[in-house]
Amino acid sequence: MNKERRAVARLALVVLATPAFAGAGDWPQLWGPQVTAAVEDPGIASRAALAVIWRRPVGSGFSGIAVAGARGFTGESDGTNDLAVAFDVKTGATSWRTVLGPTYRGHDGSRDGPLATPAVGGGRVFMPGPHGLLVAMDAASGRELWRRDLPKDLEAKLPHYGFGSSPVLVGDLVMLQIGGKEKSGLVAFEAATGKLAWSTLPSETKGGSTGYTMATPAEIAGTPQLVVMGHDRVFGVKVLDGSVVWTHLLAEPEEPTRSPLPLPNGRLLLSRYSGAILLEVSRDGGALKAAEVWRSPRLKNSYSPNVAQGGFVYGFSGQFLVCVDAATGEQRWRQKVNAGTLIRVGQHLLILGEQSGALRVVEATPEAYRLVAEAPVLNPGAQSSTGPSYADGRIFVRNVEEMVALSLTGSPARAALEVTR
Amino acid sequence: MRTALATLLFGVASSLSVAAEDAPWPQWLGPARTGAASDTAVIPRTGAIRLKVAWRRPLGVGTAGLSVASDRLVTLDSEADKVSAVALSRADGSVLWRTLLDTGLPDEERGPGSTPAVKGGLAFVLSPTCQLRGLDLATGKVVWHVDLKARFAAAPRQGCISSPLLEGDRVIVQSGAAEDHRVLAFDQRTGELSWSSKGAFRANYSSPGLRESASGRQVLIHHTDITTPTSPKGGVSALRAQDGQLLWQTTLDQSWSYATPIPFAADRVLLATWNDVAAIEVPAGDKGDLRTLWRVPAFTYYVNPPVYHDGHFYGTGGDLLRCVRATDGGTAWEEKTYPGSVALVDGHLAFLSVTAGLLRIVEATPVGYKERARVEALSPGARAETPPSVAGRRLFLRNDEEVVAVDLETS
Repeated sequence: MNKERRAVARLALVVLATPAFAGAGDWPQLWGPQVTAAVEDPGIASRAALAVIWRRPVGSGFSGIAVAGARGFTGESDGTNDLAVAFDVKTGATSWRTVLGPTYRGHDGSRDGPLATPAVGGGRVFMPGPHGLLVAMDAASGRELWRRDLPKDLEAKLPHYGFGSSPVLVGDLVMLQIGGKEKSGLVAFEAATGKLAWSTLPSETKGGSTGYTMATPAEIAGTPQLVVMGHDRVFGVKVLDGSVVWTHLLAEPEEPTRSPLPLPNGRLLLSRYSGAILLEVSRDGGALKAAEVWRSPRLKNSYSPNVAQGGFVYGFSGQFLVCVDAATGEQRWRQKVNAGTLIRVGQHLLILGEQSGALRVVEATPEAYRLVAEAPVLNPGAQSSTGPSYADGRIFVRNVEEMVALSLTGSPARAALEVTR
Repeated sequence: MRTALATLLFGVASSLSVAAEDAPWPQWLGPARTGAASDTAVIPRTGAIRLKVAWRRPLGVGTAGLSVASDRLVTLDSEADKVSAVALSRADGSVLWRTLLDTGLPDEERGPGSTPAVKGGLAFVLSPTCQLRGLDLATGKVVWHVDLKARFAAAPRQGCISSPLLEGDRVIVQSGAAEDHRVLAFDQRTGELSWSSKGAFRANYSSPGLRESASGRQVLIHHTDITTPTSPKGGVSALRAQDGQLLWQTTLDQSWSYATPIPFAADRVLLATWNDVAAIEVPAGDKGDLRTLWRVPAFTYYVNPPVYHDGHFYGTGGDLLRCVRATDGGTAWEEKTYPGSVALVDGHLAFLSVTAGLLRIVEATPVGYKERARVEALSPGARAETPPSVAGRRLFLRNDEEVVAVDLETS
């Protein structure tokens, strides 16, 4: 699949530190509570199997699913408008729908509808529409609380496929990565009022639009930061005020494809189209400075996140799922699988195949590729580019026409799944 | 007779006379470069028909199509960074020869994208590193080789993925080089440069089409204008097949792709883009303005164009298979099938799903969607962008892991 089409499906997210009001087991924004596409769940047994709980239609869009308590949230098009939708996690029934604006029409390989995944916290849902409206709603009723018009208010440039950055919540701020003029690359709004708290885009960052790039919360050298990936550099920004605390130039400019993955001891894994780089950020006198530890041709060419577990990193490298030693970059194993998006739940990698629409459970172990369970879930005719979400024992997946909730229950390994359609 | 002479000329001892003149599907989009098979009386109009997988073989990565000669298929594939040309038996898919072409390619995940062309006992192959070769069809040995990179500075970012065009005694390629070397014609037998285009527009990744006009054959190029990156444009231009001279061109706003332009009716060309499709009228004598007769978002294609049959076009737009009237671009019918590629076989569509591995035979009629047969030929999950090739009653399909032959059978 060509790069442009992948870009449509894997639009950037801004990721933040632990949200203040996330309940245990929530998935409050794209790629989860830490925005690392991973959660622990001690309630899940070491062996897992899949069972469909419910299945329902959903409108067109690439929006992922956020979950808080009894409710899940996503975005869709009804053919005329783009909407934020809330549903009951137990049954899939719609709780409310709020119109964001006229539908963003698919073009150049993309589809109608919203691209960003909503974020939920503190009783509020935040959903950016593809035309650039950020709307805050009451999570229980869907009633609109405030809105910001990013192109109008912040001179944000509309990316080619529309605004696709997903918001992240940290403390009482909603953060969003947008492109455009100076000082509007990364913005933070007060969650309660929508007032702009700060904005930043270091003027040295080349290439105008950062609309598809990603940032990750990390605590480095005692400072809570966001690590922002640009085309030709990676840098750390203070959550408190958006000031840049360190910058590392990358020799060859390239479109970033995945969130930087924070690892212990100030280490960060960067995955780009051409391969991976491990950086170590450390204190050098009064300042923070980054240095390369290793480079690897692995973990290239995929928009799916990488996940870390026990000193190893798991992720896609093109059509291969690979396990890499985080300390050295050496590959432990690789397996050709139907590529897609992966998240980690405890010891389990959950992979939604983009073409196959099938969900696989693979053991997060450096010993070998071990398939634990597999189930056909979404129609293979319809491409399934949106990543899965996980909350409270339930896996949520969707594509441009259907949404499915599955349970990851403990049961004998390799239990086959009966899909109730 | 000609084949024997060709064999003698190249000094290649071959006990097998490979009559490539009988090639039923000699290049990308088939004999006439329109996605249509030439055989008639292949599918009975009434009665049940079915599709049956005849054989299945592993194949490496690539979207390069399968060209069909009298007894063999020829395509390109890759394994890691090694690109090969491979000939397979039509009868059972066994490998007849495999020739390593080059090591290294811009995108190992995509593999080679150029469909070989076969004619006169030769196979013309273009590798992603822009090496054009004429191979002996019987043995796979290299007969001639042109390094487009060294000679013409061809180095497009995605590699050379355009499919060569057969035209008379020439093999014509969109080279990925700049300026007056964008489209190149070589002598099929020797690889000598026949002409280099003058005034052609940038067109690194599309594959040329072919049009017969009153004044002679024309090479149709789908060009792209990316001078404004946020709103790239595309269009179609025609070069005289004889000497590569630019004859006419038109550029549309806000839409482009790498789909091959398709001639239809006496004076029209269909340009399919990523967002829509436009019917363009070429004035008599190629002089004067080109008119866009209609433009509708009925089809959305990136590389494969729709097919034309009996006054209508067939192909997919989004998740819908559509029949569109050539007169005004109006939709006659549409059916939810999810995206797929189409080849035309005896008044029917061979429709291959991109992701579900499903091959269907559907009547090419404006009356409505009438499916005659289907089979799950490729595994769901392995992306199949390459349209089917056709030879008589047998269809050939490939993806990144296998090549499959499927037969049309009457019960």
